[in-house]
Amino acid sequence: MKSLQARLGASLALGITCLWLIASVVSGLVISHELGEAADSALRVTAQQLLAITRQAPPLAGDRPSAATSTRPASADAAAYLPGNESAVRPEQLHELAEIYSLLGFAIRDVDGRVLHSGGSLPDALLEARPAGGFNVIEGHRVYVESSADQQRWILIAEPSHHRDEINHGAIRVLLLILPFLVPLSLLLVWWMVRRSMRSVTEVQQQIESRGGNDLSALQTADMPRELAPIAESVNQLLARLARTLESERNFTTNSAHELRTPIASALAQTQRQIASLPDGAERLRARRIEQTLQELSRTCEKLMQLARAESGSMVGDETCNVFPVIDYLLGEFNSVLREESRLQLQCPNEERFETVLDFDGMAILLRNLIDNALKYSKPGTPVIVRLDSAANRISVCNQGACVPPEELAQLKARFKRGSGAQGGAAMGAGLGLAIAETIARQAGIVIELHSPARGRRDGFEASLSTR
Amino acid sequence: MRILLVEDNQPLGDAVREQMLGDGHATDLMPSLAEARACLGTTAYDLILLDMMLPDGKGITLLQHLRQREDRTPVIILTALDQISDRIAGLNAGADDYLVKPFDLAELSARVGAVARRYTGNPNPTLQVGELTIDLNKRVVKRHERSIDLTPREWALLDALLQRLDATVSKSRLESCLYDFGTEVESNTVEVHISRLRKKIGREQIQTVRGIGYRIASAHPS
Repeated sequence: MKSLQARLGASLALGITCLWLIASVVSGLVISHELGEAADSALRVTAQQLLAITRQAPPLAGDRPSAATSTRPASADAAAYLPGNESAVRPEQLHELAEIYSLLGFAIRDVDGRVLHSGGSLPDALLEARPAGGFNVIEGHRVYVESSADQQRWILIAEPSHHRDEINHGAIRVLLLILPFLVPLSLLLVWWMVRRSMRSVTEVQQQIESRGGNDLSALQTADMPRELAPIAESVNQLLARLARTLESERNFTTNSAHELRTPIASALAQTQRQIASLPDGAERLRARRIEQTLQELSRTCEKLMQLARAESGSMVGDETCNVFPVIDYLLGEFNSVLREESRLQLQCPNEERFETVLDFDGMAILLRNLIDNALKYSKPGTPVIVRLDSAANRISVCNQGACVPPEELAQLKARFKRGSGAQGGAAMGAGLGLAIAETIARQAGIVIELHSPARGRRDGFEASLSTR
Repeated sequence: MRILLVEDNQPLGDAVREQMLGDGHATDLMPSLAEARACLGTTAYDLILLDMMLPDGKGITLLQHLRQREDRTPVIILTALDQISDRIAGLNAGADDYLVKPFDLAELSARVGAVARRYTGNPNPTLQVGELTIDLNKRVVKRHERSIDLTPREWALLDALLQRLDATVSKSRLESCLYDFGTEVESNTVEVHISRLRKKIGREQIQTVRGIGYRIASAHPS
């Protein structure tokens, strides 16, 4: 199952990482663009300064040969502003020019293309080039060309592109170097924030988890965040509604039991009084048949009530408890009704304990049906053994009688499937006893195993209950 | 015995009352808790048959009220509530037995007899009183292996006397065992029935305690 906290954490971390990468790329591009503009501006200013500096200076033979050198006139005055003749310029200009010429190259030409002045590291190709005015990229250099105000001279100044690339790369490298530290740190921060933010959700989750399926009490909504409170309130409304529905279902079953049982009891009692007052004969026989029918109706009614209760699932609790007292009580009740106390026997070699989540009523209905069947389908007078093995948490009800064929055994838990071997004139059942037992057992995580012959015997039938 | 039957279903109540009368127990049928309380305030009953779901409340409240005031009158609950937790709750509240509707009247009679015997301190249903052998369950009295037929009222008197073996039972208590509530009691009715009973089981079996009542002596459980 997916964790909301993990999903939220991962999404936020991934989002932050992606945003950081995009921001780095954009920053790199912006830095590159801004640095380019600044460098271009510096190149243009330098070009203008050089044009201004050399305006009054006579042409000077460059300190390096070029294709245009042969046309380049020499000028001693101009040399005073240029490297090799530093005494003619101010000291700060000398410093600036020294820095500039270590990176730049330039050439100043007249209108005829003759090189009046040149300097720095200017490739030969650029010395001969005649590019248009403005900025250009030529031979791995950023080139700027500008004419003087009188249009008599023009300057070409070039800066190697790799110099700018180094600056850009340096800036981008700094951005990227932060990432290995920043991404894990942001992930950690995200995890902590998500965990902190999800604490309220976790508390609601624990509140719901800690209760069993039968705890319908309201969730605590005090100090709950505004976003969660409506959910908890809706859950509480649902729980309250469910509790009312279950209570009404229970009341309906109880009221139905009362409303059905009382008229049957009344009819049966009056019939029995009628039988007592009638002489032997056809009338008495007819009254006996009515009595039998009413008794069958009573049994069917009881089974249907048990089935309704079993299907409602209201007999399963949240915690296991020892239901031995109800087993003991039930056996005592059976024995008091049977008045043959030796028939139903309890064997309990270990501790008197059977743990289950079923409540007393559920356990009583479950065991009562198994005992009813064991008595009904056993040889008259033979014992029916209820064996409780507390070590294995198992109860078995075992009788003596004819074996149940395997194909019939496999279908005995189906509804309205009647066993074929009722003994001693026992009334035919409704075929619901084992179906009711199976429904209750399944809800409580109890497994009912049927064996015929009973284990350790050559005859009989055994139904055993064990928890999973 | 004198029995108070608290049951709001009239046909069922009538049938049970008839059965109890047939068994020789004077029975008053009350359809509500309020009327039952009123009866208990004026009459001493030997046993109460109590329905759990009544129009004006639950029968268990009456039972709890009785036990709280130290009233040990035997109570058998007759109810449509069949859950074992209901039974345990009823018994814990002080009921002596619990019978789920619908029930056989014969079983009810047996339970009434068993509870009554338990209160007399002799749970054995068979008694030997002099030459008489009395089976309280089967309601059979034999003398020298010959059955003696008793009318319900004669049996009611015998039963009331057997419940207090060797003790004197007042005439008024015997009168209350004979008649339903509200029935006019004639002054010599008990004497008439005691006389008939003596003729059937033997004059010497029932002793008159002048001015007080009657008693059966020398009863020995078989």
